[in-house]
Amino acid sequence: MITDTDHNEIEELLGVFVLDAVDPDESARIDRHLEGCPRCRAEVDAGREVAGQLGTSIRVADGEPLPPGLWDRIAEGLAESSRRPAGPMPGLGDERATVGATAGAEVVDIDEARVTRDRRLRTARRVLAAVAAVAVVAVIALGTALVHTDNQLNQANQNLASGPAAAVHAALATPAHRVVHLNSPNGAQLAEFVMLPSGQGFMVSSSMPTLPSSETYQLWAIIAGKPISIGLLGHQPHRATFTLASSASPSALAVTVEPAGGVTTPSRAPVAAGHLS
Amino acid sequence: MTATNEPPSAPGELGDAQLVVAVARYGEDALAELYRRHAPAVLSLARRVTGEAGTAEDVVQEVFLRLWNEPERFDPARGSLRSFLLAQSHSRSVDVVRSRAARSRREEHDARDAANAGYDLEREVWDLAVADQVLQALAALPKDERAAIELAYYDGHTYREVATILHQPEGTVKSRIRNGLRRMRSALAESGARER
Repeated sequence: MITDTDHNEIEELLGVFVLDAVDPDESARIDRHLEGCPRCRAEVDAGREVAGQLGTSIRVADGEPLPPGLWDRIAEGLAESSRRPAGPMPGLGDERATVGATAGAEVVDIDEARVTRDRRLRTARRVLAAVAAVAVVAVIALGTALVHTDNQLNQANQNLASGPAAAVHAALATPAHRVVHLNSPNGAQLAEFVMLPSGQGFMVSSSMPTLPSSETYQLWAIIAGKPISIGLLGHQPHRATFTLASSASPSALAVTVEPAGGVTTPSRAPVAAGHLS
Repeated sequence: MTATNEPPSAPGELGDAQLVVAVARYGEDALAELYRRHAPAVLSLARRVTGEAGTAEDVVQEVFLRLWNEPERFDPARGSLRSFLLAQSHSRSVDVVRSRAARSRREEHDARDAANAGYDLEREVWDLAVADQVLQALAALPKDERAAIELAYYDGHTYREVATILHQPEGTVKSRIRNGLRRMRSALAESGARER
């Protein structure tokens, strides 16, 4: 039986409980309370999502790769685990119903998932083939992309010189244009892009620091979950224009630092990125 | 891929909730995929809270072995897998920190120069976008709320310790943290940051 006093005391602790900032005895008491109190449980679940997001923000600031060998240690542990390797887990019971009912769009009937997965796999292979083709084009285009970007850069500069950012003003006057801010992991804005429905894009401002000439900034569009190279921005980005196929609908733009010739797939974490909402 | 005769599937194609089911039924490939997706975040948090690279790796190992042994503990109705794993990483890290006598000897992160192989750019981009919104939401909090949350979450202090550090009553710290989390939640909901 939960009394009001109990409930009120526990409720006050929910915030610090979510952050693991309670003593073990308090933690145990709250756990017991949560079993019988959906309202508090909902608050804890909501708080944990926020805490998870706080955790994600560290990961980005940290940005270090996984240590080699860590997965091997875990894999060794799996072999020693007493868990039954296959078949439904006791307690997992009817996971199809549980997960299926709660995960919305995610189909998790295993047998059905198998069929779906095979189908998806075929689709994925087609997509991968397409991406590979794009990558090949990107390789061929990279040599010229730099020149191309420079040309366009010059044009943009001329436009900008001929009036107060005439090209940008024209872009901003276009209906349905989108402004995309590319931010660094610590939240600083490093560049601003304007995207037009036609697929034309402009980098209208940049505060990306100058790189040594052995390196370049490379701009990527994330299309269907894959990074597609848009082109090189050079080691001292200023302004640039580019055109994406109007059928391509990127979910995000990102900038990485790469060796001067550019690369076909990003080799490092982006220094700046922004979503196209 | 253990006792079933499933051909190797493409775990990269599956959602987190599906993969957790697959961890229970099909084994290592599914766990490996979840490791690839979430271990960087789990590790970074453990590093931040424990301040020791080696300890943090132990925490990651524990978190993923526990997911292997008890996948049923993850309930997708109660939030994303990312939050679930980070909550475990945090709570294990805090346990380590609190059981460690020489807490003050916390060292700076070890710098590591391992080669970066094949970044998952889309996830990186997503994380960047979320991080950006989280940092903005945190920065927008009243100063006292922000300080209390940072001391508790990032440094692993109990609310009693936070109260001592900030020279504030315990009750005040409890309510500031609770209010701050609520405020962040609504700010993040408005900016559209959702875990996935």
